[in-house]
Amino acid sequence: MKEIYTNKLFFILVSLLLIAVGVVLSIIFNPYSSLSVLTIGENKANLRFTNSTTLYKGEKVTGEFVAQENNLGIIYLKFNNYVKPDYQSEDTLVFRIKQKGSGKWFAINTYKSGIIEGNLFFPLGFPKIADSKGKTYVFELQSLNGNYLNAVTVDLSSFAFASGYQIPKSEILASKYSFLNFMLKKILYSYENIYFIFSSILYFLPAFFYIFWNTVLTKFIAHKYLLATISLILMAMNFIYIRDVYSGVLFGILGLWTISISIYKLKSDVSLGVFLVIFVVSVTLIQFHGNSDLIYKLSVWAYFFLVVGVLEKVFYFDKEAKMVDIVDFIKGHFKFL
Amino acid sequence: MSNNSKKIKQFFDLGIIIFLLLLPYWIFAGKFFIGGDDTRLYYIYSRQWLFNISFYSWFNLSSLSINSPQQFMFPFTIVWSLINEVIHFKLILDYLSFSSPLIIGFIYFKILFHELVHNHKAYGFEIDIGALLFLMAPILFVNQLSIFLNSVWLICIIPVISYYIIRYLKTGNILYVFINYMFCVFFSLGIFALPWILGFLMPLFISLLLIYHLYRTKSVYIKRIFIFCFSILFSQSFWLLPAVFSYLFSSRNNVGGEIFSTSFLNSFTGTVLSTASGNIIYPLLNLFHRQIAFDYSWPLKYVFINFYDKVLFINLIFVFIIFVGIVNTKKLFNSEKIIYKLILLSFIFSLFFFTVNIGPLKYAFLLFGNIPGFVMFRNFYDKFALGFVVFYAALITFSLIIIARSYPRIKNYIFTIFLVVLIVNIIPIKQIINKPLWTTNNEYTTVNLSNEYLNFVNQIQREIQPTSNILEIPFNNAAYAIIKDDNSNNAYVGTSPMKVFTGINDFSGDLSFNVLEAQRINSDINTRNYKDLNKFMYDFNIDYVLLTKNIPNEIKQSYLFNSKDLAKQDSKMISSITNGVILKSEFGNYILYSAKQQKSLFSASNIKYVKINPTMYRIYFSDLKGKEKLVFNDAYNNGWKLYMGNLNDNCFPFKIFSGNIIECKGNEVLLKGNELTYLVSKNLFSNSHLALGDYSNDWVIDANYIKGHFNKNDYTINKDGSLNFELTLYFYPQLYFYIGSIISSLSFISICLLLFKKFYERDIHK
Repeated sequence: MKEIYTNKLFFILVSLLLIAVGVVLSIIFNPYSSLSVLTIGENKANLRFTNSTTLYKGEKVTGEFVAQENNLGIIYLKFNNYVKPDYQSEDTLVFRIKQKGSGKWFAINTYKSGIIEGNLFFPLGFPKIADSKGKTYVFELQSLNGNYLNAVTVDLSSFAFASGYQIPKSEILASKYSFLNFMLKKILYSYENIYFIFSSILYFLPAFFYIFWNTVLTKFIAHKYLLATISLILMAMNFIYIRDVYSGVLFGILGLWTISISIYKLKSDVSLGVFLVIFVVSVTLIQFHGNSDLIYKLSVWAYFFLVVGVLEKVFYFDKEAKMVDIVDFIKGHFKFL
Repeated sequence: MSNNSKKIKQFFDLGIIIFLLLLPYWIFAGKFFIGGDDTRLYYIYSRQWLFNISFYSWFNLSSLSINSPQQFMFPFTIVWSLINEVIHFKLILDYLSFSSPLIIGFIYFKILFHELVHNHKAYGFEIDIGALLFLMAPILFVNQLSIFLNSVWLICIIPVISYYIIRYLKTGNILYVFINYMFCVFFSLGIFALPWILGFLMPLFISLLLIYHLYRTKSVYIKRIFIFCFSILFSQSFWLLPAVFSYLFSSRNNVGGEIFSTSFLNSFTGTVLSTASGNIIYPLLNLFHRQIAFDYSWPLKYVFINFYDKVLFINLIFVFIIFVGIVNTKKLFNSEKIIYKLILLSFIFSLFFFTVNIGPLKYAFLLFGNIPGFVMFRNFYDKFALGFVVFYAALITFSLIIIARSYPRIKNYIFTIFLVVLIVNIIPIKQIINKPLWTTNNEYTTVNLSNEYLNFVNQIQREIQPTSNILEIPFNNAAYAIIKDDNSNNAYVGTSPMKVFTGINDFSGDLSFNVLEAQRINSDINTRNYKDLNKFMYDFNIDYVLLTKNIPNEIKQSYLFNSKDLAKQDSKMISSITNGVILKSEFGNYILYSAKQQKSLFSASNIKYVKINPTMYRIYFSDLKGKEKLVFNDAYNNGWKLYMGNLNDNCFPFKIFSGNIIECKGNEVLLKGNELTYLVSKNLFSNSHLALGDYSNDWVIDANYIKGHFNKNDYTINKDGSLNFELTLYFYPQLYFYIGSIISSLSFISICLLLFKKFYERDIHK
């Protein structure tokens, strides 16, 4: 009895430790702002567009917000997936910001639109405003040459824009209280950002797999192919609902898939079959709809399934005879369904 | 195999070879395929290249001089010069150079698979189409054939070396080491393309490491691998040794210094991030990364729009073939399995290296940038392309054989469809290789070099002293010369060939100089600051200005020229920096002017000098009393050493400069018999050797030191006590080439002795 309690306590402690490590790592390696920046999501209803969310020549998006902290220095704007055209054809975007009511723009910056590709939650920087707290600011982003080939589109789906505050290190480290206060704010504000949460999944994978392995794994072994099916469904949902490629999501689902291979003894054919399906879908989409960001995402997943299949083939070359092949896997699925 | 099918197969092989032989005649339609960064002129002017460039470690080609050993070209230019003596038609030679790597690659890819596959005679057709896929992969058209750098020879070198190493491993016969040695010496120009070789070897070695523990390796194989690899290493010593020393011994103007410069090292992340925009879909469909072509508006973009985008779907057959191959690997024999695994793993790794933009793996690749030397792979889409194609073609060839074994009844249908798709992919080859100059629509660069230009450079060679530099105008963004064809608007667009034809260096564009100097000359042109421009020209020993008047308008509007700078390079500029016309070509398209101020290569009083070759000068001092400064107006390098010469003041003046400095006419010779003695001779005044500004070498010559340390036969004394003597200025790193050649020769002799021993033992056994 005592041993069971000890084991459970150990399990809970390790799980909590791994979760804490996940929180710390996600804050340290936050891809959306550096450690000393507080990023606060703003209400997307405060964004106004000339015509539509796509910015063609002369059109602009205007935003308004009340700064919640001092040291305002960045406005983040979320864009739809953007495939940059060749350099000469890129759009030029002009960013302006000022305090509401002021006649003069506080800062004006120019960007080439290509910079947005792969950097969709884009930071528009300007000189830090030390006493910004409580003041209302207005900004705008205007297209100078936008056309149907190069125009950028603002993504209103979630966390469309945010304000960033660069807190000086001296202020953060002034006392224990100020440090803890900053960290608490940092964690709370960060987890308001859905993209941050997706990016953080990677750091919680050790905790997830540790808990998964010690709790529900045995239940999946009993249900033939269930875990494999769940992995594939998660992957499909990821294609539909998540726009970018997040390492945590990718490795999490691949981890589940690898566990499936191990517990159901799936041959390399199955992983390679998944690769082939993704690949054919990608080529079909390219043929009928041209290149898009979905194609890139599909190609990343296709590569990883190819790698899993190939590694399995290479290292289990002679043991595969006794394993489940792709035909059995498909047949088993129909039975299961 | 029946006689009929054997004949059909032979006919098919012959057909492919004839196709590869005739391919350049169709693509280039009777014009030379020359130009670009490498110029490719060594294929048609091999002798000139041999005498002016490929023998030496001190190198300039429309650029500032640098310690960059060029001997990797030496065996090829010798052999090609000899072939030139037999085949007098330069066009045939040019086209032969295009076909040769393809034909040799085809033959060796085939016989390589004969070694790898069990009962290869049954799969001749599969191997043939696999080999054809290797050579005719659109990725190779874009990455190798259209650019045709030296790395193109790796298309044949990789199968050749792979074949001989496998033969040697299997048989232990030293004959294969010998033949491979000869190949490697001849193709050293391809082996010099190290980044592309590593682009092939890196995925292979990672795979080897991963599967090494799966098999027990016999010690005899390890021994043979060592012998084989060392034979390759020794075969390359003649160029490898000077190249390695140029990296190890840092000095200003060493090629190693350039490659390890901070700006070069820092360029890794930026270059990778700006070009990693492709995905794995296109390479798996046997195509180059589409997005890169669009990002940089390459002419390939239009090939995609007009052709490949429309036939994308049929290319799925390549992926299906790979898939079916992997799924049916049980059809492989045990001896084939290990090779197949190796190829499969290497293929996966090379696909990653060639694409990079694979989610989180992109950041892993950026981390590799911290590995010393990895910066050479910043253009990953270029360096890993050839390696990827090798593994891709090898994997598909194996897959075709597996299909033949798994589905014998339908295999012919599958292979026919495969062949048709393969041929469809070849269709745009002409459009990809013979493409217009970047940022132009109609300006093609296949060309017949105009007689007007060739006659003009002959005149320059005869009448201009070989130690001067020429400034080419219009000055462009690269270091290119634009030489218009006589009969069309096509033009040679490539690194200026002035040095190749005349032995005289020129400066033709920004890349002729370092960044700051290029900025200075452009600024001088733009602001019409001719006072500084004249000073610049004087500092860099530019005695002449060459004006080219017939550059086609579309090229003037291309990426090569900045329109503002171009507009300022007018008659006002010419008259401000020159004294008058020296030479004019037949139709007036090329005009050579003398610069306002002229400068000799050496500065000191009362000297005569003669150029022996680019690494050796003789300087005769007259009436030297006490100490005197000697300035050598070429890029600084601490490899330049002074030695006591043989007293000889015979001189046929070529040009007389102020200060009683005379440049003498000399017959340039490749090699002086006494050069090796410099290994043990003491060099003079090295303590006083300093860089004078950025461009010159400065010594203090002391007559008293000569008098005190040398025999009276080495100098003469005048009545006033002054001395007459001769010094030889020698570029010491040139000696590493000779030492390397001795090592290569000794290793060659050793292999020959082993070979004789083997034949002798065999005869005894008989």
